[in-house]
Amino acid sequence: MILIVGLGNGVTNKIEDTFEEMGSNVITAAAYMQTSSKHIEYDGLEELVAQDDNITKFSPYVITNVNVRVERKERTITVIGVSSSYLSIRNREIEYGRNIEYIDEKREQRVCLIGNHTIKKLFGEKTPIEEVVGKNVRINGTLFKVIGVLNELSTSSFSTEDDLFLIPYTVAQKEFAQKYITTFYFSYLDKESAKTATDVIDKYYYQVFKDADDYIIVDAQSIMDSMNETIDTIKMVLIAIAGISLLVGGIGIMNIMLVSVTERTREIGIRKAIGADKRDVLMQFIIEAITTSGLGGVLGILLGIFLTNTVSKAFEIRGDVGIAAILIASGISTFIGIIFGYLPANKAANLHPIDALRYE
Amino acid sequence: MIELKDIYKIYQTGDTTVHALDGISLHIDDGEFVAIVGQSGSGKSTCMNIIGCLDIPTSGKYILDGVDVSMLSDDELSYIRKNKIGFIFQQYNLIQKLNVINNVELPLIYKRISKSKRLEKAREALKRVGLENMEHRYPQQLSGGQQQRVSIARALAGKPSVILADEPTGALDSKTGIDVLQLIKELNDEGNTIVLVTHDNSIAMQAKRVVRLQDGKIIEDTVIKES
Ligand SMILES: Nc1ncnc2c1ncn2[C@@H]1O[C@H](COP(=O)(O)OP(=O)(O)OP(=O)(O)O)[C@@H](O)[C@H]1O
Ligand SMILES: [Mg+2]
Repeated sequence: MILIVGLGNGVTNKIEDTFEEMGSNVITAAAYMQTSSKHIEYDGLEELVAQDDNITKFSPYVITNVNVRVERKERTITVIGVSSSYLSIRNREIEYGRNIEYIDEKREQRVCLIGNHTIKKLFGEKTPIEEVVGKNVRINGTLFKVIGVLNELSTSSFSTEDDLFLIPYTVAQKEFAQKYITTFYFSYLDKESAKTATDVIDKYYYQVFKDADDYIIVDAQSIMDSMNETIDTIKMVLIAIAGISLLVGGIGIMNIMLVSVTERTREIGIRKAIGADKRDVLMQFIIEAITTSGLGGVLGILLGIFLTNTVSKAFEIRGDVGIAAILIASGISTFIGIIFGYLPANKAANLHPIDALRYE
Repeated sequence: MIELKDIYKIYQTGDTTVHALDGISLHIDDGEFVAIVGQSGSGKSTCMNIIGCLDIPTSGKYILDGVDVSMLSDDELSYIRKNKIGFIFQQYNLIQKLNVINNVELPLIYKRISKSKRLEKAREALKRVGLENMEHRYPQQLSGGQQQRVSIARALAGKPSVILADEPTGALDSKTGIDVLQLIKELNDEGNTIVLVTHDNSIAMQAKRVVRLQDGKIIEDTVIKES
């Protein structure tokens, strides 16, 4: 139960994180086939963004994986051509150095921003980021000057957002021979403007392509909403399963208590013979029921927390057990313990001592 | 003072009725040592269980120290048992999962006596039966005679006025049986009322009065020694 709720929250957190990583207010537009008659122009989009208040910024996104060399070290690394707006669209920052600027785009300067983990890969584990700025790297055979280091998003070695180079999109187009820009990122004002912004971009693309199948426009917010909905349903199902297993567990406790009453009828007889009254016998059994179920509950909670943490670590999700889940689960398990402990205990306490004593 | 007046205990199993007790009237004064004898099935245990408030008669009156016990509720009977009566059973009836001292202090727990007092009284009772250095043993780790002495200590611990023993030596060899009987005699010398059930005449002769049952009726009531 604890595990299920914890992991459910974890998956939600993970998704939120992922989208936050992507930049929460982001629309992505990608065109599949561009020809000289049907294609998106940077200048056209610039005009569109300037006219519409819902869309705040945009950036091309020209992505390739190429060989990058520093001295004798060579690696295949993701290189993305972007504009100066890209970092703010993606909620990224420069940790040291400077951003790509308008002038770099216009003059097609061979400059680059480097990801935190890329430094480790190419320059060595302990290289201070300050030393990297100003160095030259050979991307796809061409020399680029490092002008800035990106902030680190995640310490995880899988983080793709920390292992890349960003270069001016104009340079990327030239270097990688891309006549047309396939993908653009847009940022919009706030959650409310997401829908309008998407529509505006969609309209623009439709004007260009005259066919909705030639391009795709994705709004992060709407994906996130529908994902959350799905997760909520999954969580409900899981909670239902946990509830059923709690009930089954409760019946288990009741059976254990019933068996222990039967097994211990003689003991109850002895206790009553030497002066125990109904309350004494009841108390003994209820305390046992509480310790059985309570101990089970505590163990369950600890195990749940432990598993949540382990699974969370393994899958890099932020598992979050939550006090409510603990309270509900332990409340239910103790409640079941008391109820199902009480009934058989009451039966035991009502036995006539002589009948209990004769019991074989 | 124990007073049974025309007590019947009738068991109905299927279409056979058994008169386990068939009109018993018996008067036992404080400080007496009574042996109840008779053949198997004559009603000895039934009689003793009624005296010990473990069982209630089908009809008749039982007055214990002036109180009509036949009218009392289950909890009131528990109250009588813990304050007035100590049981010694043929099969010892110790609680196996409790050690010796915990078994002995059990009646004191039900009398709501504080932990320190309880231990003191339980140790005193164990000393009385000569088992003072066995308090942390468990019943399975003791011989039959030792277990019976623990059960005697348990019966003593609450300082009851009446001690009821149903075949206390039945499961013991004759030598150990004599020891246990000696202990019971000493308790009587200290002023306890003793009711002892046995089918062994030689044991019965150690008591001061012998009541003989047959088919649920008293057929003999003899005083052997004056109290
Ligand atoms: N719970 C019961 N249900 C039916 N009959 C019973 C029950 N208890 C006792 N009896 C019957 O009552 C009669 C007296 O039984 P009781 O146990 O008092 O005999 P006893 O003198 O103690 O015998 P023993 O020496 O064998 O212990 C017996 O015939 C017995 O079968
Ligand atoms: Mg008997």
